Amino acid sequence: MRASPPMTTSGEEVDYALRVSDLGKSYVKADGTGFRLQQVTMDLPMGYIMGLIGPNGAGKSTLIRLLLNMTRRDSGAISILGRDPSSQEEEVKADLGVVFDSIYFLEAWKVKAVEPVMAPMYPSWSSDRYQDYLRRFGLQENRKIGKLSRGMQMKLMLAVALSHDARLLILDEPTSGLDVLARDELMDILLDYIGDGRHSVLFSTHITADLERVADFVTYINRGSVFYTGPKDELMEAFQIVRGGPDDLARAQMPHLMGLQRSATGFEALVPTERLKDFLASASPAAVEPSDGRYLVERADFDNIIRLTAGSPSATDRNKEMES
Amino acid sequence: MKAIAKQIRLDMQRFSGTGRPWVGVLIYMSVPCIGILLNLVMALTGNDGEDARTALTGAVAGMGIGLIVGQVFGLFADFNNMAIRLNGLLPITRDHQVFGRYAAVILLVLVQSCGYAVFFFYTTDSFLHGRDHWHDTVLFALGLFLLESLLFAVATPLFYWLEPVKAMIVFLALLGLVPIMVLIGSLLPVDWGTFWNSIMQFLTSDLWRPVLLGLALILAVEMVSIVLSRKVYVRKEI
Repeated sequence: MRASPPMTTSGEEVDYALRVSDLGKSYVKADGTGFRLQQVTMDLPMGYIMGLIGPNGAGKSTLIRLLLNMTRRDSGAISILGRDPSSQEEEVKADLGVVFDSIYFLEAWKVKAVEPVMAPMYPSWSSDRYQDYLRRFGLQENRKIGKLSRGMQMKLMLAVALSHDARLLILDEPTSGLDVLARDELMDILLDYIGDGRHSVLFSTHITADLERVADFVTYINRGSVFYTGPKDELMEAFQIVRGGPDDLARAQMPHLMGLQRSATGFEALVPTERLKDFLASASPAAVEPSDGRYLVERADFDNIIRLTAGSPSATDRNKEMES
Repeated sequence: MKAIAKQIRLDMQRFSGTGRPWVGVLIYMSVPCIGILLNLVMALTGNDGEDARTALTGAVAGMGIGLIVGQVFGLFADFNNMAIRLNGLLPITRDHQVFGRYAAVILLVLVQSCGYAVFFFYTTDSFLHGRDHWHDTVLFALGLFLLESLLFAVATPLFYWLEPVKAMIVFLALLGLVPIMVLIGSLLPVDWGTFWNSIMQFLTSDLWRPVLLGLALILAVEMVSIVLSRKVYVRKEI
């Protein structure tokens, strides 16, 4: 996958685009409630795409703000392209491209005002590349930024992020509010972008279909803690969804499941693949084979995993117990 | 230095509102140009019309006050959520952002003061009446520079510390203290007229004295303001 050794603008070789260990941050929200991001650890190797998923308020945006040094960490360490963003902020940010969920340029500016502001900021800014992206995205230079649609504003931020050869792209909910064509286009751009093995992408999203298409790695944050971080396929294979009737769930099965949702017509349980046999064997009477019609078992997708674990504060702890 | 220069450039672009510095240049150049133009027209028509000069001086002074207020309000735009998020991702450290911001503001205020000094030189009564208008012009420019620098020195840490709306309210409240203090002062059994006259006499007897004292005051106030801004901005959660 790698065409050349991954290097930063200063020429250093790096194996990891991003390394986070035991990151912690706590603060009081505007509504007076507290929030705590605790012991976040994750690694993104150079040349890959990592998706950051989790329910609203899980801590994804806080994590991104910590990575960007927009907020101070209480504990832990961050290494972006082999550097600490606190002590080497300028060097790190020169190699970063950022797309937020809403525009960060002044809305009174016209599109053509962006390049004179941004170009001097980055030593590796390419005007040709920027103009290419404007054309490719259909961004008219005389339009006011405030008058652009949300999708076009996102494309403008992306054009800026891609025009200075950012080694790591950080995107916070870039696809929310975009139609399927625009999302597809963005995903294609991201895949092109990492194609040379010298660039990496970290993006948070609620639209897990995008993630399934392009992500190599996934970090799932739930209630401020990392529920899972690692290769996407391992997470997909790690859980099964078991569906059954209202009376088909025995008390003895409960310790084997990670998440549960009941309804009038039955239940839906998230079961770690390695515990599936135990779960089925604990049924009363035992149903070792899922095909006997009592249970419907299928591989869990991201939405299932998030839906069935987000409400449970113990799910994260249980996942950690299982990992250890 | 490079990072500070980047921040100055960014602030200049922001000041122009449209991202084009020539708009800002036009605004700043308008005042001295009006002064020179007015003087030219009056010289050509042989009309030394003091009334017209006074009226125009008033209008330009009003424009100057408007520009100062506009610049302070411009801090709203610079510290709103969008702009501050942009600050958070640019490759400029927070310290350099603060230094660059102060350098940009001082530069703007200096240019504006010089512009008004040109206007003052060409249109005021001291020119007509053959007084030492160089002396008056320097004092006028210095006074303007001092006043604007003080306003920014007070306003900027507030904007780094608080949300823009709250910062503006506190700033206006602080400005509101000035007439209250004047009112209280007028009630005290002190002959303020004599007091101020003696100060002004001391300051204006030589040109170097007010210039040195003024610059020293600006430097001290800006230093304190920079220290406060750095302290609050470093801890600010963007």
